[in-house]
Amino acid sequence: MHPGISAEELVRQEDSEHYLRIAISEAIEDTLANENTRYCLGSVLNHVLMHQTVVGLEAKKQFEMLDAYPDLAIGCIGGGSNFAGFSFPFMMDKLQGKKNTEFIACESKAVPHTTRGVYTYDFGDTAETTPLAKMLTLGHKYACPPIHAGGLRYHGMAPLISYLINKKYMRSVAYTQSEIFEAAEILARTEGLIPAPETAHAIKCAIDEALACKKTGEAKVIAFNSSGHGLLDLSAYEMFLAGKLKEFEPAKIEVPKYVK
Amino acid sequence: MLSTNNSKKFFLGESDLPKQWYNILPDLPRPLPPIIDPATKAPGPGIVPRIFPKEILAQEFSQERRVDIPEEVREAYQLWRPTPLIRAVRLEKALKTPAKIYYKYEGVSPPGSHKPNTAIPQAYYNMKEGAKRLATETGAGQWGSALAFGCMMFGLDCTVYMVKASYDQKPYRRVLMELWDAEVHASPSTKTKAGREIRKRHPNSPGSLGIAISEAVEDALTHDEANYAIGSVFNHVLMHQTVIGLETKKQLESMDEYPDVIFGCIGGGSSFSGLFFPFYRDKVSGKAPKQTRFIAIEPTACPSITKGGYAYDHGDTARLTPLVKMYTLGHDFIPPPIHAGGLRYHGKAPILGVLASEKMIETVAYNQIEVFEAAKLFAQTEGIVPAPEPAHAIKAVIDEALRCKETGREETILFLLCGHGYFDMQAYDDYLHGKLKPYAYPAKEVQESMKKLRELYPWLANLTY
Repeated sequence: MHPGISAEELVRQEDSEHYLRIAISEAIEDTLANENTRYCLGSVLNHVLMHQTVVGLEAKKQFEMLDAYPDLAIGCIGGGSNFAGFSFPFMMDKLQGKKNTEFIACESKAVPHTTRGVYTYDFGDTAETTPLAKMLTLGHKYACPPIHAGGLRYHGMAPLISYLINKKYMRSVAYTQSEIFEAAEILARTEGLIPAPETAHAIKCAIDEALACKKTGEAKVIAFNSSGHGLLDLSAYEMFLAGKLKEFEPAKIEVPKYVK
Repeated sequence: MLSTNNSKKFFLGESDLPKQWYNILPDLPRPLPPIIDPATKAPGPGIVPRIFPKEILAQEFSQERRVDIPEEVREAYQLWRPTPLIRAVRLEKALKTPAKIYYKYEGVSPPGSHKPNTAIPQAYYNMKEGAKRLATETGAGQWGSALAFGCMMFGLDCTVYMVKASYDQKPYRRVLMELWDAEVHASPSTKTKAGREIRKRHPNSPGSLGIAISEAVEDALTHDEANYAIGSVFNHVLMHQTVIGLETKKQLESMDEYPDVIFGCIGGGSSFSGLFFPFYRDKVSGKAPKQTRFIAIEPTACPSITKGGYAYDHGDTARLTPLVKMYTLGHDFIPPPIHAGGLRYHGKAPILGVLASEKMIETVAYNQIEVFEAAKLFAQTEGIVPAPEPAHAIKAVIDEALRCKETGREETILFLLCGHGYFDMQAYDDYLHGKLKPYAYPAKEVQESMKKLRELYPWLANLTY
């Protein structure tokens, strides 16, 4: 834990090569400078979220086969595409007033873009080459700490997810590294699957919700997106098992406002 | 069944999960040569009954063609089974072959290989018969992680002796085992007499599977609460793996297909056996619509069948295990450091020994450079990164598909993709940077090992099995 350390101080503690938003600036510059090259983005943008809806569309059919429907839909959010893909086909029913599923987006306490960010226009990259998009953001200069869930280390959130959270169609929660690896260990020792650290955020939430049901006796149907395996993240598990994980939680976050 | 003939993947429902394993023993062309106890120089199981539960022992020698799969085992299998059968359409296109290539993919299991197919039932029977702990060996960690997973499913403790070279070079499968609550020791270890003696003689020993087996067997023999579990070679292991071939047969039936040729890699031989045995049963019972060929692939660095002897030998280096007749490079074999850790065992399953010596299966060997070239083409066409072990089968499949291109034969080719290669990225890195060597084990070394074996047990020459 780094109590009392600001985001700026965290930046100084880390090599600047560790940031996704800097890599984005580089990839865009490469594209702009080379006529035969186009840029691809792995999350955040609307079309990416739409492509991912095959996940939720399949899940919906599978639930139909079971004659069930989720009371809770849970997923982790870095840029937001996996959770959007999983949840939007169910969200459609909620937006049409047909169902009242609860949607929970899970993020890292080290990168709390939706739980502590500001809903404002911001850049997608450090060099300010992208246009401004309205989203929940920690500011495009935010120093994402070196947590093991690399896929969750991005300062902003997909504008679509940001909108839904802002309008309270979804809520979000944030967890520490230790919490999510403990949850991952439970999944590994019960279901056998080793989740990616990103996915472990959703598992932590699913476990908490299941334990809440144990207290209230409610038989809720909980659905989470197991977005990826952790077989390439075993060094992170090794650190967890050895008790060597560090926590990062900025005490203060200041998001500059570009457009009001 | 959702599949049609234009499908890429062929799934079965969970109700299609086999209810019985297929035991090949009654269908062999001649009886399996008996196990010989070196103490009595006569047929006898030696220490075997002291390290296995009764049900496993019964299965090891059973003449029943079908053996029921316990409901609890089927439930555990359901975590990932049935596994998909996939048509390698993009690989076919890249090769411009008229052949159809299908592969059964076992990499979807939690440990990422076929190994839990036997780890689950072995842990189950041990739990039923009151064992508290299982000891085993592992090379690169596929088997150790599968047994850790199996033990966790049924509440048993698990001790794994991991070949030191892999323990040092491949930490992540160790982490996987620890995450599944197993205790992992680098072998040779200080925990056993066998391990301590080898460390005294060879302080820098990189270990071998044969040494690790000695340690695990000794652990089980010297502790009442512990039994031993093995990941390949034994008859019961091969039988447990037949869920692979039984599912595959159903999947192929659903599209009215039957393989002309079946390929699989062999280390101890269990994954390939699991795939082809049910098709072998068709052949010997006269039900096969084709004269299917069964082709096993081994590395040139560990060529037990293509260069080794068919002889009685021990399964482990310290000679704790009894003698079994198999294709072997000698129990003192120290494998060259190739990346296909699962194919670095000196012996092959005795059942495959009978089948290979009776020419019921064919065997070819490839070096690791040609194998990784094939793996790269597979990854670039089908997307899945194969483990180095099944990459041997992929090399043979590509060669066969290219022969079909020359002859115009529209063969149906089937192979087993027994695991994914996510734990083998260092090997791929070495391959991409030109650091791999095309190692071939010298025939002279094999002859010397065989000579040593004859000198050790001159009376073996009098056996007629």
